[in-house]
Amino acid sequence: MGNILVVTSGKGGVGKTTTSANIGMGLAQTGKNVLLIDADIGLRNLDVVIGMEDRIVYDLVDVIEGSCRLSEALIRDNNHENLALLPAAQTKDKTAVTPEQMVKLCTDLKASYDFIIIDCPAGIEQGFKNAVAGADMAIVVTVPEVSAVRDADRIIGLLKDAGISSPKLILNRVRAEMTKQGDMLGLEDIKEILGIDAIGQIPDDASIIISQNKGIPVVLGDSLAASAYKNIVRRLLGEEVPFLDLNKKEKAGLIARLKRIFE
Amino acid sequence: MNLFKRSDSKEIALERLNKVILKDRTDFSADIMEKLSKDLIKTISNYMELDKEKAEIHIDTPSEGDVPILTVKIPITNIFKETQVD
Repeated sequence: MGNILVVTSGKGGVGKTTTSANIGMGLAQTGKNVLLIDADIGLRNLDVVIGMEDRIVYDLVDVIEGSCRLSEALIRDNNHENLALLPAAQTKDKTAVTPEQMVKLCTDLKASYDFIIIDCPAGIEQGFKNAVAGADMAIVVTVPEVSAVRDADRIIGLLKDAGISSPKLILNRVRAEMTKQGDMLGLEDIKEILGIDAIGQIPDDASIIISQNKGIPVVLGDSLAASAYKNIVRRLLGEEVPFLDLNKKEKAGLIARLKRIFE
Repeated sequence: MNLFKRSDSKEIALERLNKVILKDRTDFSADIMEKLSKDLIKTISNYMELDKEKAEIHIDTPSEGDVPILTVKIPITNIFKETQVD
């Protein structure tokens, strides 16, 4: 029996899709059978983050409406056979799917995968309701900004209403030097405010932007962000992994970068 | 504001967040408030007769940063209600 995990945030632009792609790819790297579902109907993005945008023929709405077989809509990753994407429809809107249909889809797929990861759209409207309907676990992504944390709190409340009582927090775009200076909310602060456990924090790392330019999830490389995502994957698999010291590593990274310049 | 001073703006962020989240969490929907009113009136009616029509129930935050307060104002029509329902 698989785990169905929804990646959500409330606020847009905090890194839900990047998180979904990297956790999905990271799990696939460990040999797990993973399905990524892009539930952001009308604004599909997971396909470009994972570099599959040229291979889409059918989508989630086609599957739900029965216009194609599920196997026809799934796109397999070229390097990881055990990672598949079910893309969102681009020309429809959120009302094309109902929560009941998502529950049915997830139930049908559950047995075939170790992990199903649902990338949730921003907001708290129908798109959110669709994305969480079939999930049994949630990851709440936020960034160290007042507005994003506030929205995360609202989402945690709505997840509880939907029967998902202990979501896990990922703090994205952490700038360790600012946290150290007292100019950025830290993981501990945010955990305390939101009252949930964290499963990881991701540094605000240039490698994430570069990897998205190329359509290759950063977790496949060896940056600090890649290590942070790999650690999240290990924690998802039940391992106890200490949190990275983003400050220390970032300095090492800087020295390495300087070295490269002088070489 | 002195821009060169170590700013500790995190503390400001924390304070603002705590306030706004506390307020968000107590911003009940009208639906929930109505349920709460009904439940309260039902319970209190076990001890006295109330004028349900004139009941006023709301949650306020007196001034910014304060703890929200639940205010219940219901006129009593008969305090010596004889038959107590259980």
